Amino acid sequence: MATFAIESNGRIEKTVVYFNGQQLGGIKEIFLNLDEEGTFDGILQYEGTDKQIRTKQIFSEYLENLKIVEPSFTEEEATELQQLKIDSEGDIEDTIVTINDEELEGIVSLFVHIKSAENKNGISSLFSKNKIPDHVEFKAEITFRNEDDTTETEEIF
Amino acid sequence: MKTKINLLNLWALIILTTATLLLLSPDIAEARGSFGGRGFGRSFGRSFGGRSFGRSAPRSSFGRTRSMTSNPMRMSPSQRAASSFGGRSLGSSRDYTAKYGIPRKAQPFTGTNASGMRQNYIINNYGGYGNGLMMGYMMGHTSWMWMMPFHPAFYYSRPYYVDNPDGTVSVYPPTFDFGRLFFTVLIVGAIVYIIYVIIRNKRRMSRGYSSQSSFS
Repeated sequence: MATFAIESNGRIEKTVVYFNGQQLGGIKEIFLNLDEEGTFDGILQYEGTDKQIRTKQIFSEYLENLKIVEPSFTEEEATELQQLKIDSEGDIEDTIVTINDEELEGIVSLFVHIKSAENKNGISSLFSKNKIPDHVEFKAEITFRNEDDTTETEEIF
Repeated sequence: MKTKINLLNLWALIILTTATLLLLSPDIAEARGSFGGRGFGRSFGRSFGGRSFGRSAPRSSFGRTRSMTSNPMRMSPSQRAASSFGGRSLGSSRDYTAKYGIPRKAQPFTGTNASGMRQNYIINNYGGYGNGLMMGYMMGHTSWMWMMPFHPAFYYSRPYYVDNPDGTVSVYPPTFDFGRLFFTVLIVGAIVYIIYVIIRNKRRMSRGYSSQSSFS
């Protein structure tokens, strides 16, 4: 079972990602789309230690050459952030979602899409004709089913 | 956002480059017109008595009517002097001596002006760096480096000259130009700052959003 966690205040500048308890660096994009119907997409795009960009299924593939970094936040700083944690085997039947160490129930769907803006390096970037910069994507929400059978969507961070 | 910043930086660089060229353009123009050769008495035009190809008859100054269009003798001393060393004309010697005092020494000097004519100069020595520059300009010993901001000569004016009633030209040493120093510091500072900002932004972007993010 792999553990994937995101700790954030809703801004990409203060968003850290953990995999099996270790903080990752070089993340480009996270896409999580889980729902009770059986949809299970957990995709991570990252730059490895060998500078290669890889796109992997978080819970079912081996994440090679992951960039492990030192923890960014102290415990005190972390209390000001929301932590979403997913423990899973790669299928919806065996998935536990927790927020701030509190196990959640009644989830209809979970959707997380966090994408950093693309960086172009080098002198050529100065003369780039691309006038529309890549925008940062930050969307994270959970839909719950209430006891009266209504559904409610909440922002995670 | 990043592209916008880069474009702004690029525009700033273009504006600063243009400003630098405008600052240097009078010197470049003068340098093209006046200097370029080393040694005293740069020759202008062809030497007399020379023979042109394709002509059968030898050239001579005698036996023809005088051309009035390009007569060097009709030029005033200042016209000749101006093109000789690219200096600045003063109304009278007092304009200079009132500010910088009486020269230590005034020595006559005969040189060739831009028209190739002999011209009597009176060189006013005040000593110091400006004096050396003045002699360099008079002797034609100048360098392209004098137009570069890293050379002290860049921050000095051209020699000053005054047309005397007796036909001689008094020459005074160049003076330090604080305005040029100010603008150079301003332009160089701005260029350095822009380069610093570009490098800093590049480093930040390559490092990621911050040290507190897993994203890069």
